[in-house]
Amino acid sequence: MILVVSTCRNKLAEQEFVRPVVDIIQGMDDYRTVHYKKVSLHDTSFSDKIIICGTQLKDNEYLEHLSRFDWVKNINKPLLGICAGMQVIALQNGARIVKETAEIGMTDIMVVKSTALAPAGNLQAYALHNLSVTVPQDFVKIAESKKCVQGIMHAEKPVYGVLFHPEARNKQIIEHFINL
Amino acid sequence: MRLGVLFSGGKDSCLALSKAMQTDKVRCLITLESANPESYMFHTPNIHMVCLQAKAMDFPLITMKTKGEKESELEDLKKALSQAVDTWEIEGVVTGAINSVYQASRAQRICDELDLWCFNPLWQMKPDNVLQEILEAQFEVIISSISAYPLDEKWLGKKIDKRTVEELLTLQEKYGISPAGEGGEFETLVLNGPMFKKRIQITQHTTSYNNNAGEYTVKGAVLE
Repeated sequence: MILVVSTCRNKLAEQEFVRPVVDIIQGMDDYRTVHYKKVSLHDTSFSDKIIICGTQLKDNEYLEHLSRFDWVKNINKPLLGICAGMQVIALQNGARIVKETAEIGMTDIMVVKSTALAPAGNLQAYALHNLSVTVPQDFVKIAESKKCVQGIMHAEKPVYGVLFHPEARNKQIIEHFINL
Repeated sequence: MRLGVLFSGGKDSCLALSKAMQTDKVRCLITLESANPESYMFHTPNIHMVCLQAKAMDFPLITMKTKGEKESELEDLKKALSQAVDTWEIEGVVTGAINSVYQASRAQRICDELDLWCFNPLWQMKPDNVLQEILEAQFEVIISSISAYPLDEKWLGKKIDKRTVEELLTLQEKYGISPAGEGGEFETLVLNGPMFKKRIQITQHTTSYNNNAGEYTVKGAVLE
């Protein structure tokens, strides 16, 4: 069972940032969706994998409630953070926010390290963010754009973050994560 | 949240509108009337029908004319959104973008510039799910233009019902056309739906057709 965590302040935005991820999971695995403010120990314990989804460009509410993501630090099971989800994973592990790194639309991404999610090489991906993060300690950079870090991975645990939105044009990345 | 919905009168903007109405307060519809039939951003056939549609749903409508040239139409969109902010105090904008990165990213940029929330509730929906939701919500939708083989004049004015959906899915298998018309294979016009207080009855229309391209143009319509 995959736990899908919404970071959206606005319910309507879940149609855009959570539902497309759920559509990919459907037919591959069971899932449960939960809002970040309601994630319980039960939720994180009884799931096999966890995906933290992104949110709207103007939505920074999750940054004001970072303590709601304290569970992220202790996760040993596969975890994928998308956009806001990657920021949360990085910030929970000691990274800092990098401002003025806005990217909107199709963006050239260099995958600098092969992982189970994507081989090294260039790809085009849909980006939608104003903020980026530094690479936290114990993590390695797996992807970058001209402006910022686009992907991170924990050095020992199957914990990944991507800043772009693979649910739009790179669905295979999410499929690979589901198949881990 | 107070929202304005970018409205073309077709099935996608109506479905986006109905989703927005379930969670938020829709204050107005916003339409760009493009003089360019090849507009990158805005659906054009029967765009004159949006006034009657807005009336049928009892929503205020903001319209803005645009020449429909690639980047100037974005300036016109920005003007229309600013007007919606001034008049209806909208805080966010809803689009019916499904798979077009071109449409979605431009809407995102303009909203970012105007400090507005941007919502794309149909984003990445599978075309057959779009059609299924249209049927389930009992929208009355007709095909108002076609522009791809093997669609021919028989399709002009055709109602999208269960049978039409099956036909479109078969054409997807055989010819690879998007059954939701996302590649511009066809455009639609909505005549009735869950948020319509009155149904639109077409009293007069013309059709034009040549080489797998054609339009069904409404020349007269009344509210029932």
